[in-house]
Amino acid sequence: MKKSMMVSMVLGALMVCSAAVTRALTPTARMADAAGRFSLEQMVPRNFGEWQVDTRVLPLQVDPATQAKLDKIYNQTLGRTYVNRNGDRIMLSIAYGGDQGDNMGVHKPEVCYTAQGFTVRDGQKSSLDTGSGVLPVKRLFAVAGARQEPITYWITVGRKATMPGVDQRLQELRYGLSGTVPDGMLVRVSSISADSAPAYALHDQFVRSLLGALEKPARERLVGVFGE
Amino acid sequence: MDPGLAIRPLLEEKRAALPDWLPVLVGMLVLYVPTFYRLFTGLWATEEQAHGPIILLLALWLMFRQWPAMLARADGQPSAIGWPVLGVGLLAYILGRSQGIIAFEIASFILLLAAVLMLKCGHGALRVQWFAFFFMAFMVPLPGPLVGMLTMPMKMAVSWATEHLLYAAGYPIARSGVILQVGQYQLLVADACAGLQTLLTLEALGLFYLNVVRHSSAFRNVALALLIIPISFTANVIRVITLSLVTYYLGDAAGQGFLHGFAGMVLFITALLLIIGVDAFLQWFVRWRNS
Repeated sequence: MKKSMMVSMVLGALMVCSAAVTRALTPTARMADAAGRFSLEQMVPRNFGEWQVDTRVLPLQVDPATQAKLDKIYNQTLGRTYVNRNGDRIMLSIAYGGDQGDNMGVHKPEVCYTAQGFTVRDGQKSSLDTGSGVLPVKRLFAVAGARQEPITYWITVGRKATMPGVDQRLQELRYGLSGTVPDGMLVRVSSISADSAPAYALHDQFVRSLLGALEKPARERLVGVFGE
Repeated sequence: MDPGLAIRPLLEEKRAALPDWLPVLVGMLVLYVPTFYRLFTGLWATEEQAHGPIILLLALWLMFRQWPAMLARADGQPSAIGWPVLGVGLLAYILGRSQGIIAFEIASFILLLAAVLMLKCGHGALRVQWFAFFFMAFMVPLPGPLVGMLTMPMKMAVSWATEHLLYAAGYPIARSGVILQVGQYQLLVADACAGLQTLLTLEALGLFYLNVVRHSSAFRNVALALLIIPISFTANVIRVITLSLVTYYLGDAAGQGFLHGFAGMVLFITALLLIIGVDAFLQWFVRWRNS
Protein backbone atom coordinates (compact mmCIF):
# COMPACT_ATOMS: atom_id res chain seq x y z
CA MET A 1 0.00 0.00 0.00
CA LYS A 2 1.17 3.53 -0.69
CA LYS A 3 2.48 5.46 2.29
CA SER A 4 0.02 8.30 1.79
CA MET A 5 -2.85 5.81 1.73
CA MET A 6 -1.55 4.26 4.96
CA VAL A 7 -1.55 7.65 6.65
CA SER A 8 -5.12 8.23 5.51
CA MET A 9 -6.26 4.88 6.82
CA VAL A 10 -4.61 5.43 10.21
CA LEU A 11 -6.11 8.94 10.45
CA GLY A 12 -9.59 7.75 9.56
CA ALA A 13 -9.39 4.79 11.95
CA LEU A 14 -8.20 6.98 14.84
CA MET A 15 -11.02 9.45 14.22
CA VAL A 16 -13.72 6.77 14.15
CA CYS A 17 -12.28 5.19 17.31
CA SER A 18 -12.35 8.59 19.05
CA ALA A 19 -15.98 9.02 18.08
CA ALA A 20 -16.73 5.62 19.64
CA VAL A 21 -14.82 6.46 22.84
CA THR A 22 -16.68 9.77 23.06
CA ARG A 23 -19.98 7.97 22.77
CA ALA A 24 -19.02 5.59 25.56
CA LEU A 25 -17.84 8.42 27.81
CA THR A 26 -20.81 10.74 27.36
CA PRO A 27 -22.76 10.82 30.63
CA THR A 28 -26.38 9.84 30.24
CA ALA A 29 -27.71 9.50 33.77
CA ARG A 30 -29.09 12.83 34.92
CA MET A 31 -28.80 13.28 38.63
CA ALA A 32 -31.86 15.52 38.60
CA ASP A 33 -33.98 12.67 37.24
CA ALA A 34 -32.51 10.05 39.55
CA ALA A 35 -33.15 12.07 42.69
CA GLY A 36 -36.81 12.47 41.88
CA ARG A 37 -38.93 15.59 41.59
CA PHE A 38 -39.12 18.07 44.41
CA SER A 39 -40.43 21.57 44.91
CA LEU A 40 -38.22 24.24 46.40
CA GLU A 41 -41.35 26.10 47.43
CA GLN A 42 -42.48 23.15 49.59
CA MET A 43 -39.06 21.96 50.65
CA VAL A 44 -38.02 25.18 52.35
CA PRO A 45 -40.28 25.80 55.36
CA ARG A 46 -41.97 29.15 55.77
CA ASN A 47 -41.42 29.06 59.52
CA PHE A 48 -38.46 27.69 61.39
CA GLY A 49 -36.73 28.55 64.67
CA GLU A 50 -37.36 32.20 65.31
CA TRP A 51 -37.70 33.00 61.58
CA GLN A 52 -40.82 33.34 59.53
CA VAL A 53 -41.62 34.64 56.06
CA ASP A 54 -42.18 38.38 56.10
CA THR A 55 -45.55 38.63 54.39
CA ARG A 56 -45.45 42.41 54.38
CA VAL A 57 -42.63 42.38 51.86
CA LEU A 58 -44.05 41.31 48.53
CA PRO A 59 -41.46 39.55 46.42
CA LEU A 60 -40.25 41.88 43.69
CA GLN A 61 -41.66 40.95 40.30
CA VAL A 62 -38.84 40.12 37.94
CA ASP A 63 -39.24 41.65 34.49
CA PRO A 64 -40.24 39.14 31.76
CA ALA A 65 -36.92 39.22 29.89
CA THR A 66 -34.96 38.40 33.03
CA GLN A 67 -37.50 35.74 33.98
CA ALA A 68 -37.14 34.09 30.56
CA LYS A 69 -33.39 33.99 31.02
CA LEU A 70 -33.75 32.60 34.53
CA ASP A 71 -36.08 29.88 33.26
CA LYS A 72 -33.50 28.96 30.65
CA ILE A 73 -30.71 28.62 33.18
CA TYR A 74 -32.48 27.41 36.27
CA ASN A 75 -35.17 24.83 36.56
CA GLN A 76 -36.49 26.24 39.83
CA THR A 77 -35.97 29.46 41.71
CA LEU A 78 -37.18 30.65 45.07
CA GLY A 79 -37.00 34.13 46.56
CA ARG A 80 -38.24 34.93 50.06
CA THR A 81 -37.72 37.44 52.82
CA TYR A 82 -37.64 36.16 56.40
CA VAL A 83 -37.94 38.17 59.57
CA ASN A 84 -37.19 37.25 63.20
CA ARG A 85 -38.54 38.61 66.49
CA ASN A 86 -35.97 41.41 66.61
CA GLY A 87 -37.11 42.61 63.20
CA ASP A 88 -33.93 41.49 61.43
CA ARG A 89 -34.66 40.73 57.79
CA ILE A 90 -32.89 38.11 55.70
CA MET A 91 -33.38 37.62 51.99
CA LEU A 92 -33.07 34.03 50.86
CA SER A 93 -32.69 33.21 47.20
CA ILE A 94 -32.25 29.69 45.85
CA ALA A 95 -31.76 28.58 42.28
CA TYR A 96 -31.74 24.94 41.23
CA GLY A 97 -30.62 23.65 37.83
CA GLY A 98 -30.85 20.08 36.61
CA ASP A 99 -28.19 20.47 33.96
CA GLN A 100 -25.23 22.77 34.45
CA GLY A 101 -23.83 22.59 30.94
CA ASP A 102 -21.21 24.88 29.49
CA ASN A 103 -22.02 28.59 29.87
CA MET A 104 -25.24 27.64 31.58
CA GLY A 105 -23.89 26.99 35.05
CA VAL A 106 -25.17 28.70 38.12
CA HIS A 107 -24.63 32.43 37.74
CA LYS A 108 -22.39 34.00 40.30
CA PRO A 109 -23.76 36.86 42.42
CA GLU A 110 -20.49 38.75 41.84
CA VAL A 111 -21.51 39.12 38.21
CA CYS A 112 -25.25 39.68 38.52
CA TYR A 113 -25.02 42.24 41.34
CA THR A 114 -22.45 44.24 39.41
CA ALA A 115 -24.73 44.21 36.38
CA GLN A 116 -27.55 45.71 38.46
CA GLY A 117 -25.43 48.70 39.35
CA PHE A 118 -23.91 47.41 42.58
CA THR A 119 -20.26 47.73 43.42
CA VAL A 120 -19.22 44.39 44.85
CA ARG A 121 -16.39 44.44 47.37
CA ASP A 122 -14.61 41.92 49.57
CA GLY A 123 -15.25 38.78 47.58
CA GLN A 124 -13.60 36.42 50.01
CA LYS A 125 -13.66 32.72 50.58
CA SER A 126 -14.91 31.71 54.00
CA SER A 127 -16.54 28.80 55.73
CA LEU A 128 -19.73 28.33 57.67
CA ASP A 129 -19.95 25.78 60.48
CA THR A 130 -23.37 24.20 60.12
CA GLY A 131 -23.00 21.99 63.19
CA SER A 132 -22.84 18.82 61.11
CA GLY A 133 -20.05 19.95 58.81
CA VAL A 134 -18.21 22.96 57.43
CA LEU A 135 -19.71 24.60 54.37
CA PRO A 136 -17.43 26.48 51.96
CA VAL A 137 -19.07 29.88 51.34
CA LYS A 138 -18.22 33.18 49.69
CA ARG A 139 -18.84 36.50 51.40
CA LEU A 140 -19.53 39.61 49.34
CA PHE A 141 -20.40 43.17 50.19
CA ALA A 142 -22.53 44.91 47.55
CA VAL A 143 -23.11 48.65 47.58
CA ALA A 144 -25.46 50.67 45.40
CA GLY A 145 -26.00 54.23 46.60
CA ALA A 146 -27.43 54.04 50.12
CA ARG A 147 -28.18 50.33 49.87
CA GLN A 148 -25.47 48.18 51.46
CA GLU A 149 -25.97 44.47 51.21
CA PRO A 150 -23.68 41.86 52.78
CA ILE A 151 -24.10 38.55 50.93
CA THR A 152 -23.21 34.99 51.83
CA TYR A 153 -23.60 32.34 49.18
CA TRP A 154 -22.58 28.82 48.28
CA ILE A 155 -23.11 26.41 45.45
CA THR A 156 -23.45 22.68 45.24
CA VAL A 157 -22.54 20.42 42.36
CA GLY A 158 -24.23 17.07 42.59
CA ARG A 159 -24.02 15.96 46.19
CA LYS A 160 -21.22 18.23 47.31
CA ALA A 161 -20.84 21.93 48.12
CA THR A 162 -17.85 23.50 46.35
CA MET A 163 -16.17 26.86 46.06
CA PRO A 164 -17.30 28.50 42.81
CA GLY A 165 -14.80 28.64 39.96
CA VAL A 166 -12.13 26.04 39.30
CA ASP A 167 -13.25 23.70 42.10
CA GLN A 168 -16.78 23.78 40.72
CA ARG A 169 -15.59 22.97 37.20
CA LEU A 170 -13.42 20.09 38.43
CA GLN A 171 -16.28 18.72 40.47
CA GLU A 172 -18.53 18.80 37.39
CA LEU A 173 -15.85 17.01 35.37
CA ARG A 174 -15.44 14.37 38.06
CA TYR A 175 -19.17 13.65 37.85
CA GLY A 176 -19.25 13.83 34.08
CA LEU A 177 -16.40 11.38 33.56
CA SER A 178 -18.11 8.92 35.85
CA GLY A 179 -21.19 9.06 33.67
CA THR A 180 -23.51 11.40 35.55
CA VAL A 181 -24.86 14.82 34.65
CA PRO A 182 -24.75 16.59 38.01
CA ASP A 183 -27.41 19.06 39.10
CA GLY A 184 -26.52 22.24 40.90
CA MET A 185 -27.85 24.63 43.48
CA LEU A 186 -27.00 28.23 44.32
CA VAL A 187 -28.12 29.46 47.73
CA ARG A 188 -27.79 33.15 48.52
CA VAL A 189 -28.45 34.75 51.87
CA SER A 190 -28.27 38.52 52.23
CA SER A 191 -29.44 41.37 54.42
CA ILE A 192 -29.43 45.16 54.34
CA SER A 193 -26.75 46.39 56.70
CA ALA A 194 -23.79 48.74 56.73
CA ASP A 195 -21.89 46.60 59.19
CA SER A 196 -20.76 43.38 57.54
CA ALA A 197 -19.37 41.37 60.49
CA PRO A 198 -22.64 41.16 62.52
CA ALA A 199 -24.56 40.64 59.26
CA TYR A 200 -22.43 37.63 58.34
CA ALA A 201 -22.93 36.23 61.87
CA LEU A 202 -26.69 36.69 61.39
CA HIS A 203 -26.50 34.87 58.03
CA ASP A 204 -24.67 31.97 59.73
CA GLN A 205 -27.28 31.79 62.45
CA PHE A 206 -30.09 31.89 59.85
CA VAL A 207 -28.52 29.09 57.80
CA ARG A 208 -27.92 26.91 60.88
CA SER A 209 -31.49 27.42 61.97
CA LEU A 210 -32.81 26.61 58.49
CA LEU A 211 -30.72 23.44 58.16
CA GLY A 212 -31.78 22.35 61.65
CA ALA A 213 -35.42 22.51 60.60
CA LEU A 214 -34.93 20.37 57.49
CA GLU A 215 -35.17 16.61 57.07
CA LYS A 216 -31.98 14.86 55.96
CA PRO A 217 -32.83 14.57 52.21
CA ALA A 218 -33.80 18.24 51.98
CA ARG A 219 -30.71 19.29 53.92
CA GLU A 220 -28.51 17.28 51.58
CA ARG A 221 -30.09 19.00 48.61
CA LEU A 222 -29.23 22.39 50.03
CA VAL A 223 -25.71 21.84 51.32
CA GLY A 224 -24.67 18.48 49.91
CA VAL A 225 -23.05 15.68 51.85
CA PHE A 226 -20.19 16.54 54.16
CA GLY A 227 -16.98 14.60 54.40
CA GLU A 228 -15.68 12.08 51.81
CA MET B 1 -16.17 22.00 -28.46
CA ASP B 2 -17.67 19.87 -25.77
CA PRO B 3 -17.07 21.73 -22.53
CA GLY B 4 -16.98 18.41 -20.74
CA LEU B 5 -13.71 17.57 -22.45
CA ALA B 6 -11.84 20.38 -20.76
CA ILE B 7 -13.09 19.44 -17.33
CA ARG B 8 -12.50 15.72 -17.69
CA PRO B 9 -8.73 15.65 -16.95
CA LEU B 10 -9.36 17.74 -13.88
CA LEU B 11 -12.08 15.36 -12.73
CA GLU B 12 -9.83 12.38 -13.40
CA GLU B 13 -7.19 13.91 -11.19
CA LYS B 14 -9.75 14.54 -8.44
CA ARG B 15 -11.04 11.01 -8.74
CA ALA B 16 -7.52 9.63 -8.36
CA ALA B 17 -7.05 11.64 -5.17
CA LEU B 18 -10.42 10.56 -3.78
CA PRO B 19 -9.61 7.09 -2.37
CA ASP B 20 -6.57 8.61 -0.75
CA TRP B 21 -8.62 11.24 1.08
CA LEU B 22 -11.73 9.13 1.62
CA PRO B 23 -10.82 7.62 5.05
CA VAL B 24 -9.90 11.07 6.40
CA LEU B 25 -13.12 12.53 5.04
CA VAL B 26 -15.22 9.78 6.59
CA GLY B 27 -13.41 10.23 9.93
CA MET B 28 -13.96 13.99 9.96
CA LEU B 29 -17.63 13.60 9.02
CA VAL B 30 -18.21 11.02 11.77
CA LEU B 31 -16.64 13.38 14.30
CA TYR B 32 -18.00 16.73 13.23
CA VAL B 33 -21.42 16.31 11.66
CA PRO B 34 -22.95 15.95 15.18
CA THR B 35 -20.81 18.85 16.45
CA PHE B 36 -21.85 21.28 13.75
CA TYR B 37 -25.45 20.15 13.90
CA ARG B 38 -25.49 21.01 17.60
CA LEU B 39 -23.67 24.30 17.02
CA PHE B 40 -26.04 25.47 14.31
CA THR B 41 -29.11 24.59 16.35
CA GLY B 42 -27.66 25.80 19.66
CA LEU B 43 -24.76 28.10 20.36
CA TRP B 44 -24.46 29.67 16.92
CA ALA B 45 -28.14 30.57 16.93
CA THR B 46 -27.57 32.85 19.93
CA GLU B 47 -26.82 36.54 19.62
CA GLU B 48 -23.40 36.37 21.30
CA GLN B 49 -22.00 33.66 19.07
CA ALA B 50 -23.73 34.50 15.80
CA HIS B 51 -20.36 35.27 14.19
CA GLY B 52 -19.25 31.61 14.48
CA PRO B 53 -20.63 30.36 11.16
CA ILE B 54 -19.39 33.48 9.34
CA ILE B 55 -15.88 32.90 10.62
CA LEU B 56 -16.04 29.22 9.68
CA LEU B 57 -17.16 29.97 6.12
CA LEU B 58 -14.58 32.73 5.64
CA ALA B 59 -11.82 30.49 7.02
CA LEU B 60 -12.79 27.62 4.73
CA TRP B 61 -12.87 30.03 1.79
CA LEU B 62 -9.39 31.33 2.71
CA MET B 63 -8.13 27.76 2.91
CA PHE B 64 -9.68 26.88 -0.43
CA ARG B 65 -8.11 29.97 -2.01
CA GLN B 66 -4.66 29.02 -0.71
CA TRP B 67 -5.02 25.35 -1.64
CA PRO B 68 -3.02 25.43 -4.92
CA ALA B 69 -0.31 27.57 -3.31
CA MET B 70 -0.17 25.12 -0.42
CA LEU B 71 0.18 22.08 -2.71
CA ALA B 72 2.97 23.85 -4.56
CA ARG B 73 4.85 24.67 -1.34
CA ALA B 74 4.32 21.44 0.58
CA ASP B 75 6.54 18.40 -0.02
CA GLY B 76 3.90 15.71 0.47
CA GLN B 77 5.95 13.96 3.17
CA PRO B 78 4.02 13.48 6.44
CA SER B 79 5.42 15.83 9.04
CA ALA B 80 6.19 14.10 12.34
CA ILE B 81 4.72 16.93 14.44
CA GLY B 82 1.36 16.07 12.92
CA TRP B 83 0.90 13.00 15.13
CA PRO B 84 1.12 14.74 18.53
CA VAL B 85 -1.15 17.50 17.21
CA LEU B 86 -3.60 14.81 16.13
CA GLY B 87 -3.38 13.21 19.58
CA VAL B 88 -4.08 16.46 21.40
CA GLY B 89 -6.92 17.25 19.00
CA LEU B 90 -8.58 13.87 19.49
CA LEU B 91 -8.27 14.13 23.28
CA ALA B 92 -9.77 17.63 23.18
CA TYR B 93 -12.61 16.24 21.08
CA ILE B 94 -13.30 13.31 23.39
CA LEU B 95 -13.25 15.46 26.52
CA GLY B 96 -15.08 18.41 24.97
CA ARG B 97 -17.82 16.43 23.28
CA SER B 98 -18.50 13.98 26.10
CA GLN B 99 -18.39 16.58 28.89
CA GLY B 100 -20.14 19.36 26.99
CA ILE B 101 -17.13 21.73 26.96
CA ILE B 102 -17.91 23.38 23.68
CA ALA B 103 -14.64 25.36 23.47
CA PHE B 104 -12.63 22.14 23.51
CA GLU B 105 -14.86 20.67 20.85
CA ILE B 106 -14.39 23.60 18.48
CA ALA B 107 -10.67 23.84 19.22
CA SER B 108 -10.33 20.14 18.39
CA PHE B 109 -11.74 20.84 14.91
CA ILE B 110 -8.98 23.38 14.27
CA LEU B 111 -6.30 21.04 15.67
CA LEU B 112 -7.47 18.05 13.66
CA LEU B 113 -7.65 20.08 10.47
CA ALA B 114 -4.08 21.26 11.10
CA ALA B 115 -2.95 17.70 11.83
CA VAL B 116 -4.55 16.40 8.64
CA LEU B 117 -2.79 19.05 6.56
CA MET B 118 0.53 18.31 8.24
CA LEU B 119 0.20 14.58 7.71
CA LYS B 120 -1.39 14.55 4.27
CA CYS B 121 0.23 17.53 2.57
CA GLY B 122 3.47 17.59 4.47
CA HIS B 123 5.93 20.19 5.62
CA GLY B 124 5.25 23.78 4.70
CA ALA B 125 1.51 23.27 4.23
CA LEU B 126 0.63 25.04 7.47
CA ARG B 127 2.96 27.92 6.73
CA VAL B 128 0.85 28.75 3.67
CA GLN B 129 -2.43 28.27 5.53
CA TRP B 130 -1.51 29.90 8.85
CA PHE B 131 -3.92 32.81 8.50
CA ALA B 132 -6.96 30.60 7.98
CA PHE B 133 -6.10 28.71 11.17
CA PHE B 134 -5.41 31.84 13.16
CA PHE B 135 -8.70 33.23 11.90
CA MET B 136 -10.59 30.12 12.97
CA ALA B 137 -9.38 30.64 16.53
CA PHE B 138 -11.98 33.44 16.76
CA MET B 139 -14.63 30.75 16.48
CA VAL B 140 -13.67 29.24 19.84
CA PRO B 141 -15.86 30.71 22.57
CA LEU B 142 -13.90 32.04 25.53
CA PRO B 143 -14.71 30.55 28.94
CA GLY B 144 -17.81 32.12 30.48
CA PRO B 145 -16.14 33.50 33.63
CA LEU B 146 -13.40 35.17 31.56
CA VAL B 147 -15.95 36.77 29.25
CA GLY B 148 -17.91 37.97 32.28
CA MET B 149 -14.78 39.39 33.84
CA LEU B 150 -13.68 41.24 30.69
CA THR B 151 -17.14 42.26 29.50
CA MET B 152 -18.08 44.03 32.71
CA PRO B 153 -15.39 46.76 32.49
CA MET B 154 -16.24 47.17 28.80
CA LYS B 155 -19.92 47.64 29.59
CA MET B 156 -19.00 50.07 32.34
CA ALA B 157 -16.73 52.01 29.99
CA VAL B 158 -19.34 52.13 27.22
CA SER B 159 -22.03 53.31 29.67
CA TRP B 160 -19.63 55.86 31.17
CA ALA B 161 -18.66 57.29 27.78
CA THR B 162 -22.30 57.45 26.67
CA GLU B 163 -23.34 59.20 29.87
CA HIS B 164 -20.60 61.83 29.64
CA LEU B 165 -21.06 62.54 25.93
CA LEU B 166 -24.85 62.90 26.19
CA TYR B 167 -24.54 64.91 29.41
CA ALA B 168 -22.11 67.28 27.70
CA ALA B 169 -24.63 67.64 24.86
CA GLY B 170 -27.23 68.76 27.41
CA TYR B 171 -29.39 65.65 27.70
CA PRO B 172 -30.94 64.67 31.05
CA ILE B 173 -28.97 61.47 31.59
CA ALA B 174 -27.81 59.66 34.69
CA ARG B 175 -26.05 56.37 35.20
CA SER B 176 -25.90 53.78 37.94
CA GLY B 177 -23.65 50.86 37.08
CA VAL B 178 -24.60 49.85 33.58
CA ILE B 179 -28.14 51.20 33.86
CA LEU B 180 -28.70 54.46 31.99
CA GLN B 181 -31.58 56.76 32.81
CA VAL B 182 -32.45 59.01 29.87
CA GLY B 183 -35.31 61.36 30.65
CA GLN B 184 -38.09 59.07 31.82
CA TYR B 185 -36.63 55.93 30.26
CA GLN B 186 -34.28 53.36 31.68
CA LEU B 187 -31.82 51.44 29.54
CA LEU B 188 -29.71 48.51 30.59
CA VAL B 189 -26.49 48.12 28.65
CA ALA B 190 -26.68 44.38 28.02
CA ASP B 191 -23.87 41.97 27.33
CA ALA B 192 -24.53 41.97 23.62
CA CYS B 193 -24.29 45.77 23.53
CA ALA B 194 -20.70 45.90 24.61
CA GLY B 195 -19.80 42.31 24.29
CA LEU B 196 -16.30 41.08 24.15
CA GLN B 197 -17.54 38.81 21.40
CA THR B 198 -18.57 41.78 19.26
CA LEU B 199 -15.12 43.20 19.77
CA LEU B 200 -13.52 39.91 18.79
CA THR B 201 -15.80 39.61 15.76
CA LEU B 202 -14.84 43.10 14.63
CA GLU B 203 -11.19 42.32 15.24
CA ALA B 204 -11.57 39.16 13.17
CA LEU B 205 -13.33 41.00 10.35
CA GLY B 206 -10.66 43.70 10.43
CA LEU B 207 -7.92 41.12 10.15
CA PHE B 208 -9.81 39.42 7.36
CA TYR B 209 -10.04 42.77 5.54
CA LEU B 210 -6.28 43.25 5.95
CA ASN B 211 -5.57 39.76 4.66
CA VAL B 212 -7.78 40.12 1.61
CA VAL B 213 -6.53 43.61 0.76
CA ARG B 214 -2.97 42.31 1.21
CA HIS B 215 -1.22 45.40 2.45
CA SER B 216 2.43 45.46 1.70
CA SER B 217 3.26 47.79 4.58
CA ALA B 218 3.82 46.00 7.88
CA PHE B 219 3.32 49.28 9.76
CA ARG B 220 -0.17 49.67 8.36
CA ASN B 221 -1.04 46.08 9.17
CA VAL B 222 0.04 46.25 12.79
CA ALA B 223 -1.36 49.74 13.38
CA LEU B 224 -4.76 48.80 11.99
CA ALA B 225 -4.88 45.51 13.91
CA LEU B 226 -4.25 47.41 17.14
CA LEU B 227 -6.61 50.27 16.29
CA ILE B 228 -9.51 47.86 15.80
CA ILE B 229 -9.92 47.72 19.59
CA PRO B 230 -10.63 51.47 20.06
CA ILE B 231 -12.62 51.39 16.82
CA SER B 232 -15.00 48.72 18.07
CA PHE B 233 -15.27 50.55 21.39
CA THR B 234 -16.21 53.76 19.54
CA ALA B 235 -18.68 51.86 17.39
CA ASN B 236 -20.27 50.41 20.53
CA VAL B 237 -20.57 53.85 22.14
CA ILE B 238 -22.14 55.21 18.95
CA ARG B 239 -24.64 52.35 18.99
CA VAL B 240 -25.64 52.93 22.61
CA ILE B 241 -25.89 56.71 22.03
CA THR B 242 -28.09 56.12 18.97
CA LEU B 243 -30.27 53.78 20.99
CA SER B 244 -30.53 56.29 23.85
CA LEU B 245 -31.50 59.12 21.50
CA VAL B 246 -34.06 57.02 19.64
CA THR B 247 -35.61 56.04 22.96
CA TYR B 248 -35.50 59.61 24.27
CA TYR B 249 -37.20 61.20 21.26
CA LEU B 250 -39.43 58.40 19.96
CA GLY B 251 -40.21 56.38 23.07
CA ASP B 252 -39.50 52.96 24.46
CA ALA B 253 -41.25 50.99 21.72
CA ALA B 254 -39.20 52.67 19.00
CA GLY B 255 -36.05 52.04 21.02
CA GLN B 256 -36.81 48.34 21.36
CA GLY B 257 -37.68 48.10 17.67
CA PHE B 258 -34.43 49.80 16.78
CA LEU B 259 -32.55 47.54 19.15
CA HIS B 260 -33.76 44.38 17.49
CA GLY B 261 -33.75 45.67 13.95
CA PHE B 262 -30.93 48.04 13.22
CA ALA B 263 -28.65 48.41 16.23
CA GLY B 264 -26.40 45.55 15.17
CA MET B 265 -26.25 46.87 11.64
CA VAL B 266 -25.41 50.36 12.87
CA LEU B 267 -22.56 48.86 14.86
CA PHE B 268 -21.08 46.92 11.99
CA ILE B 269 -21.49 49.68 9.44
CA THR B 270 -19.95 52.27 11.79
CA ALA B 271 -17.09 49.91 12.55
CA LEU B 272 -16.52 49.15 8.88
CA LEU B 273 -16.56 52.85 7.94
CA LEU B 274 -14.15 53.61 10.79
CA ILE B 275 -11.83 50.80 9.71
CA ILE B 276 -11.80 51.96 6.09
CA GLY B 277 -11.41 55.58 7.18
CA VAL B 278 -8.51 54.83 9.52
CA ASP B 279 -6.95 52.66 6.84
CA ALA B 280 -7.19 55.50 4.31
CA PHE B 281 -5.60 57.84 6.83
CA LEU B 282 -2.77 55.39 7.53
CA GLN B 283 -2.20 54.99 3.80
CA TRP B 284 -1.96 58.76 3.44
CA PHE B 285 0.34 58.95 6.48
CA VAL B 286 2.72 56.31 5.09
CA ARG B 287 2.86 58.13 1.74
CA TRP B 288 3.39 61.50 3.45
CA ARG B 289 6.21 60.09 5.58
CA ASN B 290 7.91 58.48 2.62
CA SER B 291 7.80 61.57 0.43
